[in-house]
Amino acid sequence: MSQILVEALAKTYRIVERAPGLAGALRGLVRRRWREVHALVDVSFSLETGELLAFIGPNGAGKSTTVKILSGILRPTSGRVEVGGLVPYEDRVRHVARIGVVFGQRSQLWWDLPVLDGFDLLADIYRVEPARYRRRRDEMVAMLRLEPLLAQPVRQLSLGQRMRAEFAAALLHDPAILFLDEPTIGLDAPSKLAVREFVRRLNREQGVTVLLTTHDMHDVEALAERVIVIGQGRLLTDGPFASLRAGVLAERRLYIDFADPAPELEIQGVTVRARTERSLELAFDPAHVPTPKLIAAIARKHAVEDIHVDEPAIEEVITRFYDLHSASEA
Amino acid sequence: MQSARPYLAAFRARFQVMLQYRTAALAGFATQCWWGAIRIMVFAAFYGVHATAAPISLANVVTYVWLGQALLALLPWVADPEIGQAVRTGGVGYDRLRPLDAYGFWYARTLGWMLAPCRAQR
Repeated sequence: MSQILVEALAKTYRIVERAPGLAGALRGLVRRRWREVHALVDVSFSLETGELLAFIGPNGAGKSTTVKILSGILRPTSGRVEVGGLVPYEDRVRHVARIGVVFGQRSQLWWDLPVLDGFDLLADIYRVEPARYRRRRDEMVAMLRLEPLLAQPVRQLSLGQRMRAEFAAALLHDPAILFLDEPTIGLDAPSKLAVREFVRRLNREQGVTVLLTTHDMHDVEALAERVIVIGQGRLLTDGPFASLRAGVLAERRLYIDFADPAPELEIQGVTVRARTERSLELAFDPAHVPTPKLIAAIARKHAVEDIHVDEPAIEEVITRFYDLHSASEA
Repeated sequence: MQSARPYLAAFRARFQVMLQYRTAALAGFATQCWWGAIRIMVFAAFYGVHATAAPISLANVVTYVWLGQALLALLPWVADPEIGQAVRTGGVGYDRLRPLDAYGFWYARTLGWMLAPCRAQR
């Protein structure tokens, strides 16, 4: 049986609308106008124990709403959700004892408490048996290199240090499932790498099921085998990351610097994306135009100074995916 | 006491945090003394005019005023301001992720905040 089961999930928010200014505010007192916002529309998926799934999508796509429903904070408008056999928002207390959550934009450690005291508090809140807590805490401190930070109040930590402490805090009660809502937001490159490495180890070595949402495509590339793309509250695709990339955009880019002014190129299956006086950016599909042949053909005829092949940025893959989808919707 | 453990911990943690604010504590103490003195002076002025009509003695009034100033912080019409702040910023989501009764948790926090000797006067 799946560990997480989501069927036809929908969430609609009602938002009060009012005209601007004092007049609008007064009118709003008498007669309210509501607007319905469909944050999620008919989302279904399931997740097996030990899987690592990434949710990607633009701002307002419904990623965080999904995490909040799965973690029991929000109640869906309709649909069915089961996590480990429990309905999160109906059996909240039993459910939340078995999950760990990290919201990248918030802090679950008390601002004024030293890190270690914050951990102790959480162990008491989750009623973790003391010997088990100490073992788990030491393990987390070692994995996340928190030793030098333990005595510092949380408010004095840098964002990167704080996120590492947040991860430890979310895992002290040894949850079977970890929800991460934009865990790398705002972090510098080394901290991002540390977070990714930690999540990967946790998933591989301890078998923790991970569901993460992110904007950062490098997170997805580094971590997730399976990706769900969500846009405007709808599930757009669910599958391996490789097939998402292959399906939406198999194309490669060729960047060439010429010794002489850039020539007019006429090669079938190759389009010129950009040109400057002495350079060209070409787009092609390696399935139709093999890369070595293309390079050889150009180098034979022209004096080439530099040449390199690249894949389109993942952001571009996703953007194109959205464009494709909204086009098909219209 | 396993069932009370989270709530005791919340109380203890909030109390402990409050102990850090020594300057605020001294300022609060000074404010209470100031207002107490003013109230006593007002009463003393009334008693100076019409001492015979008063139902209790001036000494009793002075005791009453000082008790009132000392216990003012315990009046239950404010809660831990950090709870309101958490609601505004969305941090309250984390409180909903704890395997606890949220109101009991907030109550324990607020008690820790209120009973701390250092609570800043507001």
